[in-house]
Amino acid sequence: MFDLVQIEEQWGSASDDTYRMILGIFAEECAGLCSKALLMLADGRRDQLAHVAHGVRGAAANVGAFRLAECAGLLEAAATHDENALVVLVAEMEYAWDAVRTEIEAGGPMSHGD
Amino acid sequence: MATKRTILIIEDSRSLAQTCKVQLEPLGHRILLAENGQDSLTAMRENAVDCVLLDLKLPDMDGMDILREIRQWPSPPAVVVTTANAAMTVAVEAVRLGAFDYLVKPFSGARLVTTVTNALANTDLKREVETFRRTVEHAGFEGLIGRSLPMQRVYRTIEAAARSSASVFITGESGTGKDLAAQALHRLSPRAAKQFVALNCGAIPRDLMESTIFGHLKGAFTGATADQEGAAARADGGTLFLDELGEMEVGLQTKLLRFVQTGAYERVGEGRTRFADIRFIAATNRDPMEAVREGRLREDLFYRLFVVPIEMPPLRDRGEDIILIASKFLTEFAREEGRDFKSLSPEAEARLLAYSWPGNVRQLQNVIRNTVVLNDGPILTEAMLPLLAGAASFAGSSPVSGANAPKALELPGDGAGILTLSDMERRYIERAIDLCEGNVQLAARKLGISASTIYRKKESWGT
Repeated sequence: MFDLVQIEEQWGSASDDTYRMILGIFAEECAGLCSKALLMLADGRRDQLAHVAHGVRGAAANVGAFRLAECAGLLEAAATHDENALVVLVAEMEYAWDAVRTEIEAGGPMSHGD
Repeated sequence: MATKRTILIIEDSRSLAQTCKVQLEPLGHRILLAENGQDSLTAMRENAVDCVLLDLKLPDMDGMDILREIRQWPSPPAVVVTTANAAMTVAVEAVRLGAFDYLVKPFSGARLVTTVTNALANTDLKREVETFRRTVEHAGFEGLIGRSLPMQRVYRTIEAAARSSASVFITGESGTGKDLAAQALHRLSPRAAKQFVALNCGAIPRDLMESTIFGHLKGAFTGATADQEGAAARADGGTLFLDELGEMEVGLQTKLLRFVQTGAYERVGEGRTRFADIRFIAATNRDPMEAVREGRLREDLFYRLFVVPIEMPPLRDRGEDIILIASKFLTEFAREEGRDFKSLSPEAEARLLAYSWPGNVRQLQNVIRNTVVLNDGPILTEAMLPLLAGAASFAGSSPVSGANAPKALELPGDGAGILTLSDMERRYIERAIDLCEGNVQLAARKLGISASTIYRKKESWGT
């Protein structure tokens, strides 16, 4: 779920205190954004759905949650012009988020040697 | 560490904003956060921001629009665009619009710190070059003439303060250019497109002051024949300059304090509260602390306005600026009056430099105009210069004579001994008004002081 190479490049180590603090903020923020995405999808507010997906993409990439960032990127790209794919893409983003959340709750990513 | 700078992070993602904040904090700068476009513009108007980290996708605005707006401001902060979009077209467009650099998310802390450090250095350099260019090319700055060290300090303070909305309190003797400094602050500020409204608190009758600032409704008082907006409404979004603040009635200062603190005010005769977004600049030619001690200026109002102090130096402390200013006035008045003056003689320059100029630039302006009107060039010589109040300060000067000699005021005396200074001042001013056939404005101009000063003194004499 997490790209350790990117985390180490960006933060030095997955056990870096600052990274851990940002990961906590990200977990709260992303839970809210994913709930919003479901609401936007249900209400057909596709522009706002694209904005939410954009937010998830940037925040996920920042903490190295590459799979979630990728799903959010696909959803952002499709939101304004591929209505049929949206249900599946939102579900995939939710699925990726569940996996990230589970790993964070289990202690988060660990660098080699941590 | 170098000077503390202010960095604004415009980012709607809390985790990304915090990431940037913690990575930049070790630099020791002040970090501000804004999570949407409107908040970011407010933050930039209220703070002197040196560098902006700008996310291009914001919930309420396009980051490119913010970039366009920032770039129109005088002395804009450096902008580093952050984007999750790796497409070069976006970055190229941002740089074309004036962004210093761009960062594609995710970016490392080291890359962020390097980019922001370079951006701040670039901004500092640009601002220094701009100040230097303005000073050297025009021997002055935004209407203020002079390149002396005391004025260079004033220019730098104006430039730094202009970018924020903080209140500014300008002190300095009459005729030192407090009004020009206030106008420069407005012109260089992000509020430049809105109005600059100047009020002279010493020249407006006390009964009309409240209405002048806040406006009134028809019938609110005798003579209020129609609804009228006040300076507060006209200066909304812009700048309100309150000159000679110490002359304002203390009761009205209470209302002004509330207005400065909250932006709330009521027009005279109206119950409805209105709001205005205003940058305040106050000025006085007297010691404001003395006015506070004497109870003429509310202490809380003073401290509310005394956020950024600027002291305008007297002309006698500005050395060669006297010649620069005299030369500029000479060119200007010669053109206006159809005279042939081109320059000052070395002797005339020496006399101007030797004088103490109690009326400062305004007095110098009057002396040059007087000389230009009564004489013709191409060289303004020492003999053409009129005698001045306190002319003993003209070291080695000789009396002016001849048909073109201007009429001078004689030192008043009653032949019965030495007068007190205040008596002498009173007689001198009254004599000047007589010579000007009762025209106070003209007398004030010739004395190198403001008309409101004469009115204030007359009030203290009970005349």
